[in-house]
Amino acid sequence: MSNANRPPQHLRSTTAGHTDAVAKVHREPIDAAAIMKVKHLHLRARIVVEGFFNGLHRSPFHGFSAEFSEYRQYAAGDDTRFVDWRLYARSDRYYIKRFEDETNRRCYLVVDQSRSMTYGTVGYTKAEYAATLAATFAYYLTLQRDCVGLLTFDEAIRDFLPARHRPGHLKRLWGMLDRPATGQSTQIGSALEEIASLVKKRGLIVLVSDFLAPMESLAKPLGYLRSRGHEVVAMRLLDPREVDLEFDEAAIFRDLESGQPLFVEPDVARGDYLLKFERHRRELSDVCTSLGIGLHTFLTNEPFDAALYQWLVQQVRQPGSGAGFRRGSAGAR
Amino acid sequence: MSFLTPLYALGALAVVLPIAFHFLQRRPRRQIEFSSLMFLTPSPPRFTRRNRLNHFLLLALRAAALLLLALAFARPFVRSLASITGDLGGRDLLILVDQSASMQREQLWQQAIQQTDAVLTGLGPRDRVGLYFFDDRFETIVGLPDTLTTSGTAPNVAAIRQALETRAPGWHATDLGQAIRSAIEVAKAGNTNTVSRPTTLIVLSDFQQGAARDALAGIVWPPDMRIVPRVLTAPAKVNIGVQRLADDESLPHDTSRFRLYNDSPLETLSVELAWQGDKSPTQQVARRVQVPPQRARVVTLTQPIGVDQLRLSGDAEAFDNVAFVSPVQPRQVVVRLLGATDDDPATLYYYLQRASLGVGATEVIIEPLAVTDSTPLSPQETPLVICTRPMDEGEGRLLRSYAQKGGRVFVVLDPNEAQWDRRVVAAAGENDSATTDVAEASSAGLAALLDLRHVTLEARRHEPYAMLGEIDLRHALLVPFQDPKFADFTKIRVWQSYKLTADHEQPWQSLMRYDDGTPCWVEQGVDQGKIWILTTGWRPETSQLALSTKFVPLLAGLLRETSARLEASRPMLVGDPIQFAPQPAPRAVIDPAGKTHVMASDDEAFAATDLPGLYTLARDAGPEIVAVNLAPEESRLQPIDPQELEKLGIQLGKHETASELELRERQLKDFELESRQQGWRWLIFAALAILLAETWVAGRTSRREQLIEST
Repeated sequence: MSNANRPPQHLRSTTAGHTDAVAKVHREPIDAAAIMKVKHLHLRARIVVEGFFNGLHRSPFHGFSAEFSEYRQYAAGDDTRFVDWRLYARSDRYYIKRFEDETNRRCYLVVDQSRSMTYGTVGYTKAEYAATLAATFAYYLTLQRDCVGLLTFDEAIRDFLPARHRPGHLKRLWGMLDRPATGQSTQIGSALEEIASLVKKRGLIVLVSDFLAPMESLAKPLGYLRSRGHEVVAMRLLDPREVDLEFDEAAIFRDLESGQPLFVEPDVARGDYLLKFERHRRELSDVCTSLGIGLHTFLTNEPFDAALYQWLVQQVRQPGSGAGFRRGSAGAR
Repeated sequence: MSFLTPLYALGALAVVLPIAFHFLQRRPRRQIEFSSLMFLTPSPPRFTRRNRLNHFLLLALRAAALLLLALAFARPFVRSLASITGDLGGRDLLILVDQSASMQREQLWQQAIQQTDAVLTGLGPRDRVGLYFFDDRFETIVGLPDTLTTSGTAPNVAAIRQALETRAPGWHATDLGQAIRSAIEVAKAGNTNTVSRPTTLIVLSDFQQGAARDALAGIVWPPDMRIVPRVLTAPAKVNIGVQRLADDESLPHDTSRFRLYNDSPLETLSVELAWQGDKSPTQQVARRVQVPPQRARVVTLTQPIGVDQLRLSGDAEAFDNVAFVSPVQPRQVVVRLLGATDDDPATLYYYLQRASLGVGATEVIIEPLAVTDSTPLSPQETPLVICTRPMDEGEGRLLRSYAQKGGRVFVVLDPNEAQWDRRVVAAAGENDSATTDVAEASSAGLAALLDLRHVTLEARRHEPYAMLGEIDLRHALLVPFQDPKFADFTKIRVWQSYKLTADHEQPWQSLMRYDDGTPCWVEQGVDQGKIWILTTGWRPETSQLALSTKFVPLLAGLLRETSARLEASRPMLVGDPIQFAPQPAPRAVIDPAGKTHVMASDDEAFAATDLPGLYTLARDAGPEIVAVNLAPEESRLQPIDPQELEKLGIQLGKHETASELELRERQLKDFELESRQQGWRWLIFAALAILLAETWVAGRTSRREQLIEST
C-alpha cells in the first residue's frame, strides 16, 4: 500500500493497537479466594467484570454504537453514501469509511459439571471456579450485547440454554450455573458431539473443563466442533494439587468418578505422575494448536480477571475476531 | 495335663496377632479423593523401619502373658490314674410300649421298634432293661432280671428284640395313667432285690388325647425315677371315628344311633356312612354326614336286615372306621288273645288284626289263647296276652302267675263285646245278693288277675259321650304322645264304658281317666310283669278309639315295652367282658377271627374280647350275636403335649446312652479335680508377674531411647 493511499496515522487504530493498550494497563489482580467467598454467583461475576474494567481505566458504559473499522480509498462502483466528505475536505481524497458488521455474536459457554470437577484443595472446587468464570464471561458478553448460551454436561448434556440477548436471560443462565455438579463421570467426547449437533449457527464456543480424559477421546470431537465453523476456546481448570501432586503421606487415592481405590505413596509416584501429566498437557496443546483452538490453563488459585484478560488477548489476536474488544476499541477511540 | 474348658486355650492364638499385624503391610487408613487416577500408578509396599522387630524381649514377655492368660481360662488340671478308671453305676430302664389301637397307624409301630432298638444299643454293662406293653392293660413282656449275669444285658436285649418283632398293636383303648402306675410298682419291686438304682421309664407311645390319664392323679413318684416320653408321630391326617351309642328305648329295635367325632382341630370333613354285612357284601350307602372340627354328630339310622357293620369312608385313618352292630333278625311276636277270634267287624279282634302292630322287622301274630294248667304261659314266647272276654277265676290266676314271671296282660272291658257284669260272681260268695238287681257285679276272674278280693264293674252309657282326660304322658306307654302335636285326645269320644272300682284304694295306677274322673286305663305292676285294664273298647259303637290315630301307637306301645326289655342297654367295647347272666353260659363263644372258645357251664362271662367284631354265643336255643366295638377314645388322635404330664406331677427326664452317661460322669470328675487343684490361680499370678516385668523392661527401654535421642 502506498503512503498516499493509507489513512492518516492517528486514524490507523487497529485491534493490534488495542492489544498493546490492554497489555500496558496496570492491573491489580483480584484474589480468587476472596471472590469465591461471595455467596451469589452474579455478584461474583459483576465484581470481576467491573473490577476488570476499572483496572483498565475504561468504562464500559461509554462509546458508539456503530463500530468504525477502517478507511478505504474510493473505487469506482462504491456507494457514494459512505464517502467521508469531511476527510475529502481536509485531504482532497475520496475515502470510504468502513464499519464493523453490527451482527451480534453468538457465544456458547460449555461447562463441565462432572464429578472430577468437584475436586478442590484451595477452599472451593474446580466446578465452583468454573461456574464463576463462566458467569463472568456471560456477564461480560451480555454487556457487549452479545448473545450468550450455556450448556452444562457430565456424562451427558445436563442443561442447555440457547444463546440469546434479552432481559432475564442472564439471570436464568446464572441460575443454571449455580446448580451443584451431580454428574458421575465425564464423557466430554460425546458431549461435544451433541453440542455440535445442537448449535447450528456458527459462533464462539468456550469450553470450561479440566480435560482430564484420554486424548483419543478428545481430539476427534474437538475437530468435529471446529469443522462446523465454530470458534473454540478451551479454558482448562486445574487444582494446584493436580499439577504438583504435593501430598505429604501415603494414602488410598479414590477416583472421584469411578470410586476406584489406589494405594499411592506420593513421594514415589510423583515423578511418574508429572511425566504423564505433562505428556497429556502437551498432547492437548498440540491438538488445540492444530485445530486452531485457543487453550488457556488456569489454576483455581489464580485471579479471575487474569483469565478474563488472557481470553481477551486471545480474542484480539484471533484473526477476524475482535468482537470481544469492540467496547474497548470504542473507548480507546 | 488336661483342660476343663479346652476351647479357651484357643485364646493362645492371640499371641500370633500382634506379630502378624506387625509384619503385615501397613496399609494407610487415610483416604484421599482425587479427581482422576489416570496419571497415577499404584505404589508397591515398602519395607520401612517400622516393620523391623526391635524389642524381642518385650514381645516375648507380652506373648508369654497372653499365653498364660489363655491357659488359665482353659482351667488346666492333672488327672491321676485312679480318677481315670472310674466305675459307672448301673440303672434300670423300663421300656413301655403302647400297643393300643391307635398305634396301628402308619409307621408308628416301626418307630417304636426303632426307638427301642436305639435304647438297647446305648445300654451300659451294668444296666438292667425290661419291656412292657400297655393299652388298657399292663403286660410284662420281658421283666427286669433279678441279678446281673456275666453276660450283662444280652439275654434280655435278645428277648426284647424278638418280642417286638413278633408282636403288633391290638385293638384295646389306652390307659396311660394305669400303665405308668403299674410300671412304678414293677420298678419298686425290682429295686427291693438289689441296691437302689436310678430308674428311667421310657414310654413309647403316640400320646393321643384319648389316652386315659386319671390314674396319674395323686401318684407318689419315687425320687430316683424319671419318665422319658418318646412321642411317636404319624403324619397329621384328619380322622373321624364312629361310635355306636346305647339304644334309645323310644326308637324301634332296628334303629341304631351312632356318634361321629371329628378329631381335627381345623378341618371340617364330609364322610359317608354305609351298611355292610356278610349277607350283603355290597355297601348300602346310608348317609353322608358333615362333621365340623372338634365336634360330634349323632346320626340315627335304620339297620337293614342282613348287615352287621356300619362303615365310614372319607377320612384318612382307617382303623376306627367300622362300627359293628348285632344283625337285625326278622322276628315273630305271638300275641295271645283270650276272646272271640271271629273275623267280624263286630269283634275287637277284627280291628286288632288290621292294626299292623309289627314295627320294622318285627311281625306280630295274634293267636287265640288256650288256657290249660299243664302248659303255663312263658313271657319269652308270649310277651303279651290280650283279654277281651270275661275270664273265670282259674284263668285269672293263671294270667296272674304269667304276669308275675314277666308277662303282660291287657284286659279290654268292651260292654259291646262281652257282658262282664252278667257274670255275677263273688270271690268268696259273701256279697249281698241284692246287688245283682242294680246290674252291679264283681268279676271273679278279674279280681283274681288283680289279686283283689273283689272288683266291681258298673256298665255305663255316657250321655251324650265321655271324653278322655288326665292322661299321664310321662308314662312309658304314652311318652310318644308327649309332643303337643300328638297330645290331643279330645277327638276320641266314648259312649259306653265300665266303671271299675276296687275293694280298697289305689290298687293300680291310672294312665288316663274319663272326664267324670273315673279311670279309663289302669296299670298294675306285678313283680316283673304288668297288667293293663282298659274300661272301654274300640268297637265303633263303644268308642271312637279304633278310628283314632292314637289306636295303633297305643297298642304298639304295649309291644315296644315288651321288646325293649330284652335288648342289651350298653354297647360292648373291646376288653369288656360279655356277661352271660341271667342266662346260662353258652357252649362256646366264637370270636370275630373265627376262633372257638369253649365255655364251662359255670362261666359267668367271656373276657377275651380283644378284637372288635361280632361274637357268636352258641346256645342251645340258637346263636346269640354280640357286637363289640373299638373304644371311641382311640379315635382322638391329637397328641398330648408331654409337658402336660409334668402338670400331673410326673418327673420328666432325658434318656442318655451309656457312652453319654460315661462322658457326663467323667466331666463331673474332671470338674471336681480341677476345682480341687485350682491351677488357674497360679497361671494368673504368673501372668501378672510377667506383665510387671514387661512394664519394667518397657520403661527402661523407653528411657534409654530418650537418652540416646537427647544426646
